[in-house]
Amino acid sequence: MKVTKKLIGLLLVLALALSALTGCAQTSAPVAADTSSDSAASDTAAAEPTEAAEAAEATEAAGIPLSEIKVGVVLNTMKEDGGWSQSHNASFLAAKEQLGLTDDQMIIIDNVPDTGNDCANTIEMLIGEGCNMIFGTSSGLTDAIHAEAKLHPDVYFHQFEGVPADNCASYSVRDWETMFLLGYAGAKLSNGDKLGFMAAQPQASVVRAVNAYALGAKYANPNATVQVVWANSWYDPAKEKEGATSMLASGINVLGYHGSTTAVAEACTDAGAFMSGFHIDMHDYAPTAVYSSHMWNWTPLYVEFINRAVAGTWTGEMLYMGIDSGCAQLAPWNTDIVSADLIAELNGVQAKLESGEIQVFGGPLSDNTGKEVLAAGAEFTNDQLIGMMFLVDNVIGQLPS
Amino acid sequence: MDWIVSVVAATIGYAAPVLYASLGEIISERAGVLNLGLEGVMLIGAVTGYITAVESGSLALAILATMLAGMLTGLVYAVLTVTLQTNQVVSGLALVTVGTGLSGFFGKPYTAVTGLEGFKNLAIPGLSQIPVLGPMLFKQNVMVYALYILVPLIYVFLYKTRPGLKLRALGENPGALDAAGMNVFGMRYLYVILGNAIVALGGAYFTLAYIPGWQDSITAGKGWIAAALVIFSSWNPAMATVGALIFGGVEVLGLRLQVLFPNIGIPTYFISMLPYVATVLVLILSTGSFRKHRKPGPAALGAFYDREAR
Amino acid sequence: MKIRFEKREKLHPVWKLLNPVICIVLALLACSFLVIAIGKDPVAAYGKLFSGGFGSAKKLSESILQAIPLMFCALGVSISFKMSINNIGAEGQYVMGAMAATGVALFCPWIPHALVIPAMIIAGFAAGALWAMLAVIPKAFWNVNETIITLMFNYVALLFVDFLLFGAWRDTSLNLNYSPAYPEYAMLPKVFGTRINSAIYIAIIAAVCIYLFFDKTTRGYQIRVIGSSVRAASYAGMNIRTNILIVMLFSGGLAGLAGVAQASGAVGRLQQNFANGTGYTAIIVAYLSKFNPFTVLIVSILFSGLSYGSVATQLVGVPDQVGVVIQGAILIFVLGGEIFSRNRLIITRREKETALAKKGATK
Repeated sequence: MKVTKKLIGLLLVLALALSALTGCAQTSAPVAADTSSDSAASDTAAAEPTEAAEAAEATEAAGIPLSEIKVGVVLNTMKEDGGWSQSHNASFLAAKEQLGLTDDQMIIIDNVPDTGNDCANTIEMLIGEGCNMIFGTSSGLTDAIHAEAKLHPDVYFHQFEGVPADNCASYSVRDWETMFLLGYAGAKLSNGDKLGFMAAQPQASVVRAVNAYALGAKYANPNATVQVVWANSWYDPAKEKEGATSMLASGINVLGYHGSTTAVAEACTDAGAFMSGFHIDMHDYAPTAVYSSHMWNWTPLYVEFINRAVAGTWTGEMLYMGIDSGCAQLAPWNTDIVSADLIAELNGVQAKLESGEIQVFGGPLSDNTGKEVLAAGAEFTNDQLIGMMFLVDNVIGQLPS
Repeated sequence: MDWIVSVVAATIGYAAPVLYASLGEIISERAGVLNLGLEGVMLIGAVTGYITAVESGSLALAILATMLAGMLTGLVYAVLTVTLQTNQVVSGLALVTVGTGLSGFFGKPYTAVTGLEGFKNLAIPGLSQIPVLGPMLFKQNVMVYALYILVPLIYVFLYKTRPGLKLRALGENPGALDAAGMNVFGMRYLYVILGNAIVALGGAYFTLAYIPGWQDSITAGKGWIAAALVIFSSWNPAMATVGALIFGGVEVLGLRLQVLFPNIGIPTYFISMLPYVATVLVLILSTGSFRKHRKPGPAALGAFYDREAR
Repeated sequence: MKIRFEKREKLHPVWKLLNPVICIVLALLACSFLVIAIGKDPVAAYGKLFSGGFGSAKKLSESILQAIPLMFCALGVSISFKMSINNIGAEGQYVMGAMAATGVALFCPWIPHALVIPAMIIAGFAAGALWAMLAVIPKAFWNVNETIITLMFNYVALLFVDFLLFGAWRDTSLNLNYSPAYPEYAMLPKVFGTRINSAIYIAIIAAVCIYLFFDKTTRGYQIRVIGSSVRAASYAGMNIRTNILIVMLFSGGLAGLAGVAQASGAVGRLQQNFANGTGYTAIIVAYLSKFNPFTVLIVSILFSGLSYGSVATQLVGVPDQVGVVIQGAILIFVLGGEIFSRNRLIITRREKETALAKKGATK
């Protein structure tokens, strides 16, 4: 036992020595960046952390020169996850391209668990690498982003659906506008009044999408109802496939979807049913089934934040963007499924959404237990939207109470 | 009726990967080697199969590669537990850790890569026309059909052949086999490697047939369920099939009930607990000491064979 | 050619020290081929790995913070493994502990503020202990294998916490399935300006107690005897059933404390998938430490540093899964290497072997 202890002490020393050694070796022989997948990862600790921080402080009023911007991103799942993180990763790379940032000016770290301490530790590492703008892309990272923002007043923090603070902005995309359109199209494609929806977990962002889909369906067909099935897991392809199959077996032929696996697309292809995709254009998963997909495009938001930091107009506020700015996007309508007439009709609805003539969550709204949740003419606050936990009256299914 | 047919058909599809893993584990445990690393082996099988299929375009090659990868994990595991005499519970856990990490490491570039055709559901002409049973049993994919052959095959091998008898003796009384001049170590190597090849197929079922596609930790804990099923089945492949179907049925029904009775009032979390609670209950009922004819498993299971201690 | 092992009488101390070192170096070497396989520089990757986990006082302190729940779980696991009870349910016991602590912190307003933390500790310990004991009742009374049952209990515990977080306990102000944040008085104090929380003292005290228990008390001796041979122990008149329950009381209780430490020391609320695999890593840590409580503390820090450092490997384009692979590889190599400290490797040529066999036959 004693020996093991000694050994581990020895190992620690060895590890430290090794790390010091390689740390030196690295600056002299940087590894070539792999531009295809992880171009964002910088290989050399180019900017001294203190320098960057001082620069940020000194030029706060005038903004940070574009060349001194260094963006650090924390993704909670893998950047190839076929969904959420993939969309953020792509948007950051697009923003980098658009603004002409170098590879060294953006570090994207993925697969950071959003529970526990890992996020805080990752942010510390990014700031240590010289990042002066930090982005947390998952709600789960909120606590860590807020805590770190307090510790690093010189760094601009951004948190998806967080709580704005002096140096912490919050942002989100009105995905309910695209989900409304997908629900509308779904109701038109359905062979009956009943549609289905395969959803991951009953979390507010998912609930919002289900509701918007149902409201869109109702807008197209006042009798439309939407059956929702929860997989109760963020990631269980087998369960999602089975959940989708169970709805299709009950005679439903159109499904809405909120998740990031290919499983529902498989089920729909097998059953000859239609579905809407989520996160990314899922057309390739099931060319005969996917009539369109909701896609995230965070680029306008990220470009806006970076531009504000450069111009010195950055403020810690909540920024919402929707279908009008292209942040909530639809994949091209699948013309094998959606007729030209329907597309024209959908374009009309889209124009009304963009102009604000249709408010997806406009009052009056009641939930599926018959309770009124929003009076006529009233609007939800940001907090109410972020924490939405009711199902609108034409959704069949329930939330945990 | 249609509803029942579709539930049963779905149950079979859902149970298949767990059954593959259970069958592999039965072989290995019958040889006296406990392998709790099923989850890791399945993941390695899943990722190997998928990468091979995507790169070569051949599903046959993918199955072959999956089995080879499984055999490789079996070889490593046999070296550890048979030759190096390590603790089998902890070694199994090590296999889970390494399998999860390795599959994630090499699978990363293949995550959400789509377009692979995979094994499609294939109606068998004639058989699938049988009323009720046809659409339940014979509109599945090739990997399910393979199980229709594999289960009886393993059953007959175990209970009706001489090598099967020896395999059972290997887990019960390796000392006697050794005394009879048989190579205990060699046989254990063989069966652990063979068992893991089958377990790996359970992983490939996800990436090649059920989904198809690769995502991190795609097996979502099914390997552990399989390990439990082996005990439930009393190391009998026929009973393992029943167990896998019960497990699949509970999972499938849990989801279907949401559609049938949307206002049932039972939180879905409790329905999701059912397979685990059922496993515990069945374990107690089938192996508890209050049973007169209980069969706690191969006598030499989990213990390394030490010639000197014979 | 044939390979066989022969028991060693005595082990040279240098060899005893070198054996695990060689195993770990071999594990690292084996994993470096992975990095090479994807066309990256292993030296750079390992550099980032170690400097990310241990490269500065701050990073080391972060690794220690991360290690605290792992320490508790691994201490708990090592107690049960010492009695040859394969408790792989630390994950669930951890979550149950965190759940109980959260219940006390948020939903028991009648407890005086100064007593909230002690109450959380007691509740967390009790919940973990109860969950663990429940899982071994079948073993204690009907001799049912505990390995799978403790595991199944993990899934049930996780789903139960999900049920609370997605329902009654959800913080309605967030788009998250988290409990509301703890009030300030339910948070453990920090240690000397670091983010490390004072639960580490409890972990150290627990380690000392475990050491004393097994080394100085009759009960501890009994448990060690049962661990090496149940049959011998029952011949000696030891009560196996009571000892199983006592061992799991402490094993589960310690894992429950991990939940308290993480919830009230670091995170400040209950989250979904709260343990995130710590309960499983704990088994590896316990085993690598040969169930020695002090070694457990150090190996926990080492493993937490590895997991933190693996995030940094992304900076040189190496997926962070390499950290998990290394953890598993170290275990495999150390497991495999153990036999060399107990035995001598003997390689004989075939002719010699047949001669030996003949000799054996005539004997």
